[in-house]
Order: sequence, then structure tokens, then C-alpha cells
Amino acid sequence: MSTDTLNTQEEKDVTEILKRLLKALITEQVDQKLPGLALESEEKAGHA
Amino acid sequence: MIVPKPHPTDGAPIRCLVIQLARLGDTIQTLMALKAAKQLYPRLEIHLLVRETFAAAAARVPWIDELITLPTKELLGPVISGTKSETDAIKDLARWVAPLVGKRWDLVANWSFSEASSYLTALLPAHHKIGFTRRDDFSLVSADGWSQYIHGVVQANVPQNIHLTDILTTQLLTELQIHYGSPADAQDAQVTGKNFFTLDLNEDSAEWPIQDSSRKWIGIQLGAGQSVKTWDPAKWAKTATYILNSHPDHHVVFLGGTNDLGRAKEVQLILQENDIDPRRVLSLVGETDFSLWASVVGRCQWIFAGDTSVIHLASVLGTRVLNVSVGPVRWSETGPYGNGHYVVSASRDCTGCASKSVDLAEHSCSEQVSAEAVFGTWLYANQEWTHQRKLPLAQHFAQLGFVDALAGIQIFRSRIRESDDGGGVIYEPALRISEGITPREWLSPVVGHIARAWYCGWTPSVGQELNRAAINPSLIQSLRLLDEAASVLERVCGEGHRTALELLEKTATLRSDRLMDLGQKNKLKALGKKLADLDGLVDRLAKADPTLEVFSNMSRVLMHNLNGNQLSELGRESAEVYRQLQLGVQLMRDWIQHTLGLARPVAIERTFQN
Repeated sequence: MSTDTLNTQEEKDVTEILKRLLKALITEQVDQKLPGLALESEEKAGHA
Repeated sequence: MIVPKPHPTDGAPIRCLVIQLARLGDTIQTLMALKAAKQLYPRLEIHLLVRETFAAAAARVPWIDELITLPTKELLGPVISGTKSETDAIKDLARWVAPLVGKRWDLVANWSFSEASSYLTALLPAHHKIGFTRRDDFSLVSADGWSQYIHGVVQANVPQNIHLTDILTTQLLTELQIHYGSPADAQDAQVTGKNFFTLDLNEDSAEWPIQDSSRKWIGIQLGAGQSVKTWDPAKWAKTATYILNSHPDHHVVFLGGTNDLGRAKEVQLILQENDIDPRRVLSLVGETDFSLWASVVGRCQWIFAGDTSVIHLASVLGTRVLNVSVGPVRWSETGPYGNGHYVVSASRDCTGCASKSVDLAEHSCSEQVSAEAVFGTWLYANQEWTHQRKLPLAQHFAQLGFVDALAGIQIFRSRIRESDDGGGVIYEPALRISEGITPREWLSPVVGHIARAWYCGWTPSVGQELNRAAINPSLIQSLRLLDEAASVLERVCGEGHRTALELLEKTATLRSDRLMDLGQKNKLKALGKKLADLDGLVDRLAKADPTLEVFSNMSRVLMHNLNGNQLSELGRESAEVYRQLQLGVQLMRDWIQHTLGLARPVAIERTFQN
């Protein structure tokens, strides 16, 4: 859980690249308006 | 509050995807929370996504319906080494993620609470989501109240005392109850136990001496996640020497990964110098896969460890833990879970802990905790059945001749609290620090109490965790000042609530947020400015007294997570935010009054005898 510092530089690299790739992937999907994409839950989750 | 839509197929499985991309310790805590939920909602169909490196634990629980692994090495390794471009890696990632996007989830729970995982969560179609995800504009959104609390309090380093396992469990159960009704009667089914995992041990391991049930074993995990959280190997060796010399029926097994081989060698050399019989010591450092590791941990009477995943493993297996907590660790959130575990740590944050430094030179906390302190604590804990905890810990240390070992440390014992008292695990002081508690330490149960009021809808009585002996003049002085600031904050929140309601009233009748007359426009502008000024005031009050930071942090997170695009919706939700903050401030003030009341001198009725 990201409540703690990541332990190694390798983990930091992995997390940072994963973030970049997923961000790029979601941007690409939005641009292409691919089916199946769900940016938010059907019922927007509010304050529980 | 969203009005729950009844699930269309009552009795059908609730298809739940849980995303846990953090480390093994987090995965084990996730499993604990999921098992509790599965017992209460048997039709919960759990699909668990973890990183391949930390999948071993999840692979050995039979009640997970599907284990999905993220092959980070395969997907990201070539990018890190420069042999593949990010553009090509995105295509690989898209192929990996496609089956998850293709499914229709009833619930996606993102328990990684990281930026990366929020993008993944945003990609997935689901009826409901909890945890971090992304909006249409890709801004981060905390989908539910507990996620907002993680964001604004836990990750912001504000002290609070609700264990993360309890947060995850409550968060999931709340979501399930809202959308799928009350849970089944689990009839006090146990979550933890020796059979938590289905282990596949090879034939060789059956011959390990640890299988001999006539011997008592203490497991010592030598390493920890970071070097600043790792206790000195020489101190582990000294602790083991004390145990082995005083308890002829006990044996010690050292555990750890290949990174700990150097520490294991150092420990073994010292034990040899101390003339310890080598047949009473076993080192499995660098030799255990998950099955053997879990089997050994499950067979030990005690596990001694720093802040590392073995304390969660021991917790789920029902093995008692002595947690030597050094370095920047929030053990009240991530410590051993269950009854009768002990935590030994420095009594105050050192310079390195306060700044969360990873530089070992800045940490003096590790030096504070001695082998005598750890051995003395274990001896006390191990003899609980004899002294029934009626023997004061300080007296026990005096009998051992180890009084000096108590200087600069604190010792806590874990207990699962009755649900009527607030539920969850708490750590009760087994040794009270003579100088009393600091305002920051006072704040921890207060924030936990506020969270229960916000998200559970009820709270136990104020001040349960507080003991009169923990209160000192310095705390009293700080709380008197805090009460002045908190009373101002309470009025600010009340004014914010009224202003937001006025905004709602003025905007509810508008045909459009754009079409309005000049008078209306100026009025709305003035209300907007007033709310911005009140937000600024909340921030300034928190800067003046950091004890109030919990409210400025939560204000920012809650305002960021407002739903709706129309002014009237924003007005309604802002009013709700101010109401929530005001409730929290009122509770904090109740705690202040309770604490000040405890500190007042109590008149003793004098009895005259002739």
C-alpha cells in the first residue's frame, strides 16, 4: 500500500513506469473511443 | 449518499475484482479482510489481482475464485533495461489488460491506493468502485469515504489508530451492505488460524527438526523492508542467547531472504562465541519458499520481527508476534493483528523517524531498544498465564535487573476490541511512558474516533483509550490552546455549511448555471468568494496548530472529490462536507473537555475514625 515509502529504487522505477504506461493506455483508449472503457462506475460512488 | 440500486439478480454471485499491487505484507492484510467479507457474504466471487512477485500467499488460499497476476518483470523489465520502447510496452499492457476490461464487474476494490493503480481502476467497467480511480479528465478521485480518509489522513502522516486491516474490512463490508444488503450470520467464524493457507511442502521439509512438536521454537526474522527498519543483528544474537540460556526447552530458527545472509552469518558467529549449542539453532535464511516459510512460522510459538511481512503472516496463522519496531513505522496501522501480540519501540520519534529519512545515520531509535528490553518483554508475555498481567511490567524488569532497559522505550500489547467498544485491533500500553503523552499521541485515538463517527455512523463513548496517568501539564496547556482554535474552526465550519446551503438555495431555482441576471450573478460570486475565504481560514488555523491538520487535509480531499457539475449539486455537496468537518471538530472538542476533566483534581472523601 502506498502508505509507506517504496523500499527500493527498482520498485520506484517499476511503479513510475507502470503509472506512465497505464496513463498512456487510458489516454489512447479515450482518444480512440474504444468500446468497453469505463472511466467511472455506473453509479458514481459518492460519500459512503 | 447514493440511493442503492437493488442488485438485479439477488442470490447470484457478486463479481468482485480486488486490486492489490503493493507488497506481500499488504497482500496478506488484503487476504485477511477478504476472508472476513467472504464469510459474511458467501456469494462474493473474489478475483484478486496482485503483482507476480508477491502472488505466493494468495495462490494458497482456496476461497479466492481467481488469482490474476501482473507480470511486472515481463511487462516492465524490458523498458527498464532499455530493450523495449514504452510505445511497444503499452501494446503489451493493453493485451494483458483486455480480459479485465472485457468483464463486467459488480465491484472493483482498488486497495493499492497508488497513482498507478488508479489508472488501471479507471479502465475497468464496474457497477461500483472503491479506492482510488480517475475521473473523465484523469484527475485522481477517491471513490468512497474510507479512501478519502486514507488519502487525507493515513497517507498524509496524520496520527490515527485504526489498523489498515480494519479499514479495508470495514470499507468493503460497508460497500457490500449498501448495495447487497445485510450480511449472512457468520456465527463467529474464525478469520485467522493455522489452516489459513493450503501449503504444499515437499518430502524433505517433513524431516526438518522444526516438525518435532516436542520442541518449542522461536522464529526470528532478521531483515526488514528497509535498512532503517532493521534491528542490529548483534542485538538479535544477544536476545537469542538470553532465551536459549534461560529456557533449555526452547530453540531458535532464523528466517530471512538471500539479502539477510550476511546478517545470519554475523548472528551465528556471535552465538558460537556465546557457546550456544548449535543443535538448538537453525538458520533457514535464504532457503525458504512461501510454503516452507509459512509452515515454519505457523509452528513457532513466537515470531520476533521488525516491520516486515512476517508479522502479518504470523498474525493470520495465529502465531504470537513480538514486533521490534524501529525506523519510521506507524505500527498502530500496520502492526501485528490479533490478541496478545507485543510491540517494543523507542518512546519518541528520533530525528530520522520524524523526517522519514532512509539514512541510517539519522536514526537513533534502533539504539534505544536493547536486547534486554526485547528479552524482558518476551519473558513477561510468555508467562502471562502465570502472572495474569497483574504483575506490573516495570516490576518484572526490576526483578530481572533490567530496569535501565526501559529508559526511552514503550511497550504495547494488542487486543481485539469488542464491537460495542469500537471493534478492531488496538494496542494498549503495557508500559506507560513516565512523562505522559504528547499532543500528537493524544491525537491518534481522537482521529480514529472521528473516522468511526464519519464512516460507521456510531461511536463508542469519548475517551475510552485515554488514561488519567498519561496526561501531563504540557498536554493540558496544549489542549487549552487547541480548544480555542477548535472553537473558531467549529464556527468556520458552521458558517461554511450555512453559506453552502445558501448557494444551493440560490442555484436550485436557476434554469441554467450560465443564464442569470446580474444581481443573481453577483450574489453567487459573493457566496463563492466567501466559501473560498472560509477554506483559507481552515488552512490558516491548521497551520497555526498542526493538531487541526486532519481537518484541513480532509477539507481539501473532500472538496476535490465533490461530485456533480451543476452549481446546485456542488452547493449541496459542499454543505455536506462542512457538516462532516463540523461533526469531526465537535468530537475533537469533546475529547479535549474529557481530557481536561480527567486532569482535574478529584476530591477524596475523608473518613474520620475514632
